[in-house]
Amino acid sequence: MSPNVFSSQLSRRNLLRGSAVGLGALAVGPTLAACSGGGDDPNAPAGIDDVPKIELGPPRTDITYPEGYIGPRAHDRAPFGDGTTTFRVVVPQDATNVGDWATNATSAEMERRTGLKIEYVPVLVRGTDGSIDMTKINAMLASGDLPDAFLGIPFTTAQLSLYGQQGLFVALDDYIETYAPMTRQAMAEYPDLRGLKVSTDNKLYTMLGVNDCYHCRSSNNRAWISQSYLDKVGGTMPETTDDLRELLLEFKNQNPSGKPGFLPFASSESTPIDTYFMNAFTYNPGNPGGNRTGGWLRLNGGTVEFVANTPEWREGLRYLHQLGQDGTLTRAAFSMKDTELQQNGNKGLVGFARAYWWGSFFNPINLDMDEPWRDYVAVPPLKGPAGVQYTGWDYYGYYTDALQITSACSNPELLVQWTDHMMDLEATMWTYAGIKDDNWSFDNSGKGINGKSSLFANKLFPAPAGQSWGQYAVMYRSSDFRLGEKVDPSAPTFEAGLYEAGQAYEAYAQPKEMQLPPLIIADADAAAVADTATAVTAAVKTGLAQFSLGELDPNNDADWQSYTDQFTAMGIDAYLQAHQTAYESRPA
Amino acid sequence: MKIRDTAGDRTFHVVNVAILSVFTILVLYPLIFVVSASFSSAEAIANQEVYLWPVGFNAEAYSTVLASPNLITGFVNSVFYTVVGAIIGTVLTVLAGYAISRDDLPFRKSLTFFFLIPTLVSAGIVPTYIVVRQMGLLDTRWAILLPGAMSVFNVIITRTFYKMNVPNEMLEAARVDGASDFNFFFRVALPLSKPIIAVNLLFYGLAQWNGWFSAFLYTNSPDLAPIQLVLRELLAQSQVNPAMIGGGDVSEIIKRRELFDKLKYAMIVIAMIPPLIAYPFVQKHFVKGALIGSLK
Repeated sequence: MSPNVFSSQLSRRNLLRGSAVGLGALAVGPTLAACSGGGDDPNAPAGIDDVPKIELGPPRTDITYPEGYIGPRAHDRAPFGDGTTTFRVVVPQDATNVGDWATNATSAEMERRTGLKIEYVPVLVRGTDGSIDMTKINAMLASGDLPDAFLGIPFTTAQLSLYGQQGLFVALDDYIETYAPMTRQAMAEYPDLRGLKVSTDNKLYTMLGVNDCYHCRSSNNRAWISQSYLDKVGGTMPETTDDLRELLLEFKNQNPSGKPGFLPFASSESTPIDTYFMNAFTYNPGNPGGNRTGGWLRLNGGTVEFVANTPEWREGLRYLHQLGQDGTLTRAAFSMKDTELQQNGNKGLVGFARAYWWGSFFNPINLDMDEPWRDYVAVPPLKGPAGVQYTGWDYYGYYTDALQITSACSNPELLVQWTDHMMDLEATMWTYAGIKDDNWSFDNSGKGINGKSSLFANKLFPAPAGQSWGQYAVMYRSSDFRLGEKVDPSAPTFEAGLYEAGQAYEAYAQPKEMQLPPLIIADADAAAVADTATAVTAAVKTGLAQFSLGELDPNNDADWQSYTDQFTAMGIDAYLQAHQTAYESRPA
Repeated sequence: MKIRDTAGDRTFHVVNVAILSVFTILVLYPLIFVVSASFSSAEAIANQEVYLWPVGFNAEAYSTVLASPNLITGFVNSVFYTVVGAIIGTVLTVLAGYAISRDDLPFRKSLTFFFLIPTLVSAGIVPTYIVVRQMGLLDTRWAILLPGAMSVFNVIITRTFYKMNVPNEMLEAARVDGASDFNFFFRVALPLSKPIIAVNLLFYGLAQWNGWFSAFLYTNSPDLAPIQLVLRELLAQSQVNPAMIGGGDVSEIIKRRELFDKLKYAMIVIAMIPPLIAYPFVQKHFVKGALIGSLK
């Protein structure tokens, strides 16, 4: 660690000691002010006083962009660091893709581009089930063992808000205003971006990254069907819920695979099926995941409402109940392990699958043209009996974990510039795909994923360990950028196939006003809301399985009544009210 | 002349052999399965085609392991932590256990209670992290070896062992012959405590060999990671669900999943070899050391 950084920590420690005895606070005041950032009116960041605003020059002319391209561009930007200060940056450990951060090729490239020396501190942030495990990060924060910054660490917005207001993280609006032209461009091109990460005090305690994955916007709502099995039973692509019911019965009766154990309908325990089916009855956002807002909540004219106890939901349950009575929707769809689903897929036993992608029901999977997964095509959203046809479209899922600067950092402006350089087109390519020309190159000779002219071509992706930063950098991967990847028509990649699948859903996306954006629940309510969310999640999942499998009957009013009553008992009203308050008071 | 077994004896032997065979199979089958799976193709494992012998025999998993610097480093580190951790722990335990086993030690009860305090109230992650940090141990090998180097449970076993096997009469006899306390400990007590030393070495060694948490919490440098932490990371990264991360590229997820599927059984084999080798040498001491010592 450099003397510079060290002295700043010493003075902070002095301050703590000083304030305890009422001495010494004045002497270190200026150092602190330099770190915490100024600006009284957060709605219009004032920038840093007396520092000229950094603007991007004209983009490099050697790269041809597709028509109407919105996203990162390559600029010649001079290094700004002189190498005298080394910054400690905590990063996720990932031996498979990143390897050793210290000797990684992209780490060297970033130092060359910026002149900034970084000491990477890798930390494992995943538990053995792939879930987020912040044990070590929390220990570092709680014990005052602060690095200069965190990069790619999965803090929730609630944590950012909390740590920011405790003074652990530096507010960055003014720094971005002065030092980060590429970030400003991303914020202008993605107007919602800041709002997705801003804290309850309307300050931004994180840099902003974009990874706008087109197909991920509908990924929780996709279903797949085997084209060859469909042809074999003489069926056509189902368009309505009734079509699908008929088709599943055909699958069940004719068994197009000819093998025992065929699954007309397949899914696994980690895959919710309500996101696909219920959207034929009412807009159902499902339960998009742990660090987002609570499940099955949507907006109705600005009012937060719960979906899973509505009459439309009951209609949906009636339909699933029918499938259960037909014997096409079985217990296996709720309880099958992910690996079992993959084994069934490998054996050709899957007819219709509700799954994230082909890899959910094939393992191993590769890009050969004769691979069986290529037989499975996306099933567009179904039209329900009342004509409802939605797909849960995620308008807000494109932000990344980005970078947070801590109060231990003596020169936040340097790390802000470092981050901003990372969002340059060429740097973004480096961080995610590794060594230029070996793994990728700029290439406008072909068609991109979206059919426009291509921007770049990947020769080797993912990069071998030690070359790229995986997905942990502060990227600016706009939708146009991602879809500018050149497609080899003779061997389309997964991303190309998923783009096509995503297109089948976009037309049915719910209006944006219906999706509840990510919210930060006030501290006072947070624990109660989390408890209710857990109870609600369990109740909805159990109810879905019980009604579908015939343990409860959706046509029986008593069953339905007791199902809906349990939500009242769980305190759904207070739960909704907490979300409503958070929604209305969120910084605009 | 050979005396024929009675019918009862023969029945006994048959039943005995049958039961023991079943037991042997129960223990042996998982081992054979893991070894077979480690030599099988990834497809065969994914489709659960491996039952007893390798399917699609290949040693690719092992060549991948040998070509992975972090796995090799992890293995070497684990051996180091196991050996050094076992020695440090055993020395401390034997010293403490012997001392509190002696009736003539002043404040013996209070000392024993003092040792027991951490088992009743433990500080938790953050305070221990602060202690390790303030002692300057963060990101060093000592952070893995020193915190929790001595286990109170082992001290109690050791104390009981000394109480049983080195009675006061022996001490009195040595005193009559003019032995000092140190003389008695090194020339009488220590030579009698081979079983408890072996048991302690095994307990501490095994704990270090299986340990990952200290390394996870207190070290950052990949050069310090034991094999269990390397494995844990491999497992964690392979389990990431694409639906959980917005914008993840699926080909990265497959890469992790494939690597893990390929390596998992080979890694289990490698991780279980050292304890398997160590066990037979220590096992005979178990009866005398841990079992008698802890029961009475």
